[in-house]
Amino acid sequence: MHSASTHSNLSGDQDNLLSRNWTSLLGWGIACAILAWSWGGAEMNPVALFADGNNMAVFAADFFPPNFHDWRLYLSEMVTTVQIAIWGTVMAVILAIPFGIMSSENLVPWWVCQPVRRLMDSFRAINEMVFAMLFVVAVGLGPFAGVMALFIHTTGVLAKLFSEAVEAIDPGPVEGVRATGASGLQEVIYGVIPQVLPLWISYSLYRFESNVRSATVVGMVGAGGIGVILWESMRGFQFAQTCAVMIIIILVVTSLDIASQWIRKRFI
Amino acid sequence: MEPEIQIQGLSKTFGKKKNSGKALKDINLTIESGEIVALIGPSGSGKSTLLRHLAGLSCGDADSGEIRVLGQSVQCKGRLSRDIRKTRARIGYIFQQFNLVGRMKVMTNVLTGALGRVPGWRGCLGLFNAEEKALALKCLNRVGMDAWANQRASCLSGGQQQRVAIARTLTQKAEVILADEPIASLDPESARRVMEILADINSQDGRTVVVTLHQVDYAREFCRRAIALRAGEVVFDGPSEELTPSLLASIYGTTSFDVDGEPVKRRKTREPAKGFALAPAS
Repeated sequence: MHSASTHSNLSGDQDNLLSRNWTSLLGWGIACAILAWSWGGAEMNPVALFADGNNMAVFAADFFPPNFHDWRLYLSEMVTTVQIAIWGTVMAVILAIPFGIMSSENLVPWWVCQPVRRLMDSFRAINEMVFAMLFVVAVGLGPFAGVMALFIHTTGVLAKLFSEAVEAIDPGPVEGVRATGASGLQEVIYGVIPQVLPLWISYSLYRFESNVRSATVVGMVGAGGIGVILWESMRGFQFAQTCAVMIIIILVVTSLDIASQWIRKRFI
Repeated sequence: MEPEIQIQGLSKTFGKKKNSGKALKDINLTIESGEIVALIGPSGSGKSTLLRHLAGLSCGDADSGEIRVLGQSVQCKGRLSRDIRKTRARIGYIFQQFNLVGRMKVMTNVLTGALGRVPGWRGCLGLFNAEEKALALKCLNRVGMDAWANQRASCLSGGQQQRVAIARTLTQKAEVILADEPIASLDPESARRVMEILADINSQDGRTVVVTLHQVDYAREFCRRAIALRAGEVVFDGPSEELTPSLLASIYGTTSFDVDGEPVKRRKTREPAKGFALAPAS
């Protein structure tokens, strides 16, 4: 009896292994098919990079040496860009806290969680540039349109990240607070937020970094910041100026990335 | 006068299977004010589940009766009472895993005990007044943890964390203390210390204490009354000195007891009511 059951177990395992092989093969097949299918749609043409190599070289040569004649203007516009990112992120963080908690399955009933999640999905689905174009119409040209664009999109992103952190908490301390007779809000304040705070800070800083990058392009549709200059120098074929602006963007974005990394380390 | 804790016809089923998932079967118990009671029984016998129901942290089946604590309804027919928070504020709960908030200071953890009493907005903003802070320090002092008040709770050892958790219930001015396996995760020395503090709260302050234990010798030493559960049913309720080795063997099942009447080391499982319900295959 005993040996028979062992035997059947063994052959069962073999069956398992074989079927797993087939499913993994199928998985690879599907992955390859998707890649091939997208290649056509995306009109992938790597040869073009080499066929017109001379044109590329001429084009690249136009960028150098960079023209820093108007560097004061570039720098002040870059500062505006960072200011847009700061306000866009801060407002998003403030709103993402309640929305993040309201889209956490372990804290709220499904009839709160699901609608809030779908709303956040829609905030996130639309790119900042699209929101920027809409807000330029709504609030007029200028940085405020950029702030609003970043704010809406980032709220959607952060609410999702925040709620993922909340769903991974240890329920024990929350129950500990609940057992003292605390209210639901107090359970969140004392039981949940202390647990997720380091992650929330880290996510917010990440989003600030990426918002600085996004803020450099919202200007292209008139929503303020260095994007305006970037767009105009490119349209005027002033590639030496474009190069100077790009160098400034790289320097500022890199130094902010380093700074925020440093801050993040303090909190974890 | 109404007894301090009154349980009528409490049943609890986990999952869908009506019989194998039955963690508590029609429990009826009363505990008087000032008692110190040990809840014993093998792993999965339902003692932790029972304690959770007393504080309204879990809900019984819809066909359950009522649980009343301190003259207030906690739950009735599987639904929590509307003013459960007020009742919870009067019930101190001590967890096996302490359930302190690790990133908060010891002091803040202890102050959360006052949340049930202070006005809601003040509790939310963490604005505790001097009187509440003095009380929290006094409670920390009583469990010998006042020197750690400004440290993060996560820096402490298990025994220290459990003492802080007791200070939290003291700050709560809880009239009933429910302790769910308070010493199961502690070394013997810390365990003794925690049990001594609980017994002291019972004898000095006259608080009712219900404690689930799996060390029967602790139950005999610290608790006058013992209630034994097996497979979700009360199989013994009486003075703890009546817990003879043969009686214990029948409670725990003969195989889980060695010759000295000590239970074999238990494994804590989240799954309730497992081993006894599934008959062995051969």
